[in-house]
Amino acid sequence: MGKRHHLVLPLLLACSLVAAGCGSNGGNNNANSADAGNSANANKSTNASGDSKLDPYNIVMVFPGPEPKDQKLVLDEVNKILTKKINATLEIKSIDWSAWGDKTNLMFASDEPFDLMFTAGWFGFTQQVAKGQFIPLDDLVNQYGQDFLKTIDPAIVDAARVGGKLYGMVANKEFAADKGLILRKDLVEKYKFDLSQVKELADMEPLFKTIKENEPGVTPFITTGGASPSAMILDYGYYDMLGEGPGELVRSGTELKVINKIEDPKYMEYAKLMRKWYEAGYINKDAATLQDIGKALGAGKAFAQTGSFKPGSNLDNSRNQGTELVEVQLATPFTSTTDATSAVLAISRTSKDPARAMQFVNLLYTDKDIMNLLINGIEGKHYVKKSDNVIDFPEGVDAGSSGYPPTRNWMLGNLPLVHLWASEDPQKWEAYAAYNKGAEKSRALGFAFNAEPVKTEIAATSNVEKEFKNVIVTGSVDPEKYISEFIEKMKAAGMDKIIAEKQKQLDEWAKANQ
Amino acid sequence: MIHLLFLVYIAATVFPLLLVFMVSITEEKSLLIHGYSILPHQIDFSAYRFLFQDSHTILRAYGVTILVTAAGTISSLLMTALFAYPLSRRDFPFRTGMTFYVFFTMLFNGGLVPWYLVYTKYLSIDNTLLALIIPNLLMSGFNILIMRTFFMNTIPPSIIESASIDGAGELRIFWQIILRLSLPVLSTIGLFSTLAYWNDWYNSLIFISDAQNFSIQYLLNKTLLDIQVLLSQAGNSGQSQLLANAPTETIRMAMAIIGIGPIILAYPFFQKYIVQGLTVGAVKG
Repeated sequence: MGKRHHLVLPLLLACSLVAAGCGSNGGNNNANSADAGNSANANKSTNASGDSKLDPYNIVMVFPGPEPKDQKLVLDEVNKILTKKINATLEIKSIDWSAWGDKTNLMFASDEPFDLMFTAGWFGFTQQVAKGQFIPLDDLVNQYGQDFLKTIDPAIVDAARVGGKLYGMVANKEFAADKGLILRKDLVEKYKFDLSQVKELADMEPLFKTIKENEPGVTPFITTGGASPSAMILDYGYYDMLGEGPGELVRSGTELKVINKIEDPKYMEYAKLMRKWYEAGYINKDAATLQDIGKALGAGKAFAQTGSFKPGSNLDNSRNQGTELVEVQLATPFTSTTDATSAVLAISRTSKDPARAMQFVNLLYTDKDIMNLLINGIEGKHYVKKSDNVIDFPEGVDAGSSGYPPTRNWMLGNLPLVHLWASEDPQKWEAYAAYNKGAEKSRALGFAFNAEPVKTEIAATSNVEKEFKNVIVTGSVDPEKYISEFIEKMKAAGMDKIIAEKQKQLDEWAKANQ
Repeated sequence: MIHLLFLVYIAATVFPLLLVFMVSITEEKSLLIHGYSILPHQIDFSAYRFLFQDSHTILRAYGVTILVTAAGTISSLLMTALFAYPLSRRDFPFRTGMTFYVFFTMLFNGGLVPWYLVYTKYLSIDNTLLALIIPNLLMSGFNILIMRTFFMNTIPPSIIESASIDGAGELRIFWQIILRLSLPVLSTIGLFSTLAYWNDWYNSLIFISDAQNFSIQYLLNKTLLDIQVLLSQAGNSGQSQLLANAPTETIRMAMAIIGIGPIILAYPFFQKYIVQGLTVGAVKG
């Protein structure tokens, strides 16, 4: 009898051995350990003798979004330049938007070595800093990042500071946004609407009325919870959201007082207006549950939607929708910490050679060739030159079929260095510079809220928000009745504690930055 | 009466599927204007044409999924049977201990991070097809216990005894007698694990970063989730641009249809045995 169990254990053992054996053939392992060896040396040399003689180093940059088909070809070209300049090579690790949270957390948890990571105020920057995943960059920037400092307005550089230390380098592009409505131009012209009369959201009412009465089948104002005027125009346009969770700053005024926007009269005003329009049939009935507006304006299904603008956005939107559009500005350009940090590169705590990573980032702010390769791809293959600084797709290629579509053209480096596409405004960068300069800076620009101390309360309040927010801001329910209930439940979920914490951190920040 | 009930039930099950298919062949613009409808206003196959323009990615992902499903199901069945059989033998000395070990894994696990570390740091199978086969899916305590109960209840110990008297060794008994008598439970567990492998996207999400090794379900899932993630981040400047490049509604539906694919054919194949296998395994003698 006893001999029977001999069968099971050896088999299990054999199977696990096979599994382990196959795994180590993958090659990843070897590459990693080789990197680690190299970089240990590199570290020594960079510290010892500056940049006179650098050992080869492979910089790994973690980036969201799908990997372009021709990424390898492009990186080969980039690496030719990089090897010459800082004796380094670049590897981009692409992670899909949807997998980003899970994968990056696991990479940090397993101490996986990598150097640079894309992050942003809207994409978890402060949370990662609070968890200690990025290293402070002040010394490195001063030593290796002079071109970065020269390019960016110091007030914007400081937007990536948390607790007084710099944790990221922002991409040079627009640092503000203005908000308003996007309307179909053909209908505006048909009914001769005078848009200069529209100063407030409420001024749109007669326009919507005309559309409702004269254009059957066209929804005057199509919206969703996320694209409602309250979420799109008030948030970031009327309030500075001050990061995660409830607690906002009113844009006008002078003091640094954190308020609760759902108790603010403006919030109620917008909710009531939306309710009125909802009952009048100006708003799509499924607004509270609709996820994505898509190209409803282009399809001729709707007349207006909300939008977030920057120079050239009307051109982009018109092209996407396939119909001519006009923008009505309801909130002037405004720079908050979130706008200023909408694309940031940070150095991971698992980087083996932060100095080299910083040298590379610095190159992104001076080196035209590297930037053009990384953003637009290879000349002759992914684009052709129309004139000195203007490019277009080669014959028979478009954004959909290109092996390296320029989808990263807002995500890193000094973007005015790259060529302009023929479809873009030739004065794009001048327009951006003027726009950035003219934008009103938030009183709390540079303040980043650390949500760690009130994490549980934020989770609880965001559950309450899920229940109430969308139905209130789309006018699907009576705001008089529901907003008070909303406030009550938010208070029960710990809203006041979050606001008090925000106020405390804001006061500390103000004191440190006097 | 009962027929009517089931007819309604069938209709409720088939309708969404049919709707997805119909939306996938609707013309994009008419979809935006008229909304979903079971009879398209304008039939148009451009979504499928678009998908097959980039057929390399899809065919590759299909290949990965088929390979993983086949290899995974076979090895999973073999290992489950090899584990369950000794547990079913009353003369196996470590029976109680091993059964408890299996049972324990059904209740507790090590958590996400340690689980991830074992496969990436110690076994180093991330970015290989093994990462789609082994984690979570290869062995399941539940399947082992079903199979063990089946072996215990349907195979009389006297068959095993008489075979060994006739000179058959343990391997021969297992291969030629036990497995041949256990087709119902094998096909039941086989169907479970075929479905689990076919539908799995989580392992791709966690372990695979090389697009070459994505499974078809992950490819579909990420297309939809990417849009959701971007939508939830209102007020960032890249959002509108990224969304503009997102696939349209009809393409998403066409992808869902393609994802269902051949797995639908697996059902009739297994159906013959599945009910029998489940009930026999569940009733304890």
